[in-house]
Amino acid sequence: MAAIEESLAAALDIPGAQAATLVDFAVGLPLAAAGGDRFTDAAEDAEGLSELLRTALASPVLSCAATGDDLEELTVSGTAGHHLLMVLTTPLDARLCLHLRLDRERGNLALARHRLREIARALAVG
Amino acid sequence: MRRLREHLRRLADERATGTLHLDGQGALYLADGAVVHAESRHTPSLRDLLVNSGRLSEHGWECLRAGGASAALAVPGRLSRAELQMYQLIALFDAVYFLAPCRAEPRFTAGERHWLAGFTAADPATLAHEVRRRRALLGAAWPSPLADDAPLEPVRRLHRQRVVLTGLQAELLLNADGRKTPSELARELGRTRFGCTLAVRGLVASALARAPEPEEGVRMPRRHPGGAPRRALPVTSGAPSRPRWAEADPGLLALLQDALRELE
Repeated sequence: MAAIEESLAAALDIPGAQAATLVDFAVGLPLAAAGGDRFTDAAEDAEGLSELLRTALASPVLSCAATGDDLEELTVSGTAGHHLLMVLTTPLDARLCLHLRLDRERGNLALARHRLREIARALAVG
Repeated sequence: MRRLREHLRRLADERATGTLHLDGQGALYLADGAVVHAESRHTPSLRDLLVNSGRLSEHGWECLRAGGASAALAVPGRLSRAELQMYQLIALFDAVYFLAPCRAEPRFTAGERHWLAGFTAADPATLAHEVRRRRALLGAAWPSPLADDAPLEPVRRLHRQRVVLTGLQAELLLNADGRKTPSELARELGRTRFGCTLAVRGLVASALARAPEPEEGVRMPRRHPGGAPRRALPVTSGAPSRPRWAEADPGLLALLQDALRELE
């Protein structure tokens, strides 16, 4: 069984999960997607997410250390749901992140964050 | 890209397995109609990405090649299956992007499944979409392609208060020697050529790297002062663009105003 797909399947098992993608946000490339409709949806999402992450990385105000620290996680909460972006640590020149869309009613943000962090850690073995 | 896309579409319908040669430029490897791997003369190979970046030793790479599909976890350096899939996809998209402009007639030979066939793959529609998207991304970072294949020359003096760099941009500046091109740096560092090309365009846009002199009659794009590369309006490739006014940097204007006042 392919390992990236396993991780996305595990992400979709999180209560309230609607869609999960693995994105290279340095370039805006969706490496894998699960739960959504067509590939092109994942592609548009990947581009939007990548811009957001790159902007966050480029803003000194969003860093917590004088010399800048690395972005780990970004959560955007709306009235209908949450978006969790978990940045993976790998030595690839790609900047990878796991994106999970969570339903507001059925999802529990704290639980989802905890589970997604575990999945991200398991993916980034190198 | 159109010719390549047509070939790939036909081969996808036939669920073909084999190699699509591109006249000495490189090749795409197909299994059951999907593209599992691509190699190009112009981009770092999967081996380069894994070994030159320090992720695997040469020995580790040999083990991976010897073991094939089942061996990933047994390789020294413990490359997980997921990680290999990620490297595979990233190398694939990089090679395909630089193979896309190739004018040679693609030639398919049916054959054995590539050793990477057990891991992951990409379909032709995805590849075509991604090539188009990357072209737009490069154009938005900096409209001129002159820096893509020219030696990367970091500037010696900065007229900025502070700079914002991605990790890759910093790595390129640190490893540049005024002679190596983005492509050569990519191979040396084990990075994708596209990633490095995009990073260099950003460096030129931020005035951190010298913009190569254009030929006679071609207009230079106007730089945007301040910050990481911003999305500019898309520019059609080929035609020289009319220069657009860069956005004003209020901090700089304020400083200038103070300095002029002191001179009075």
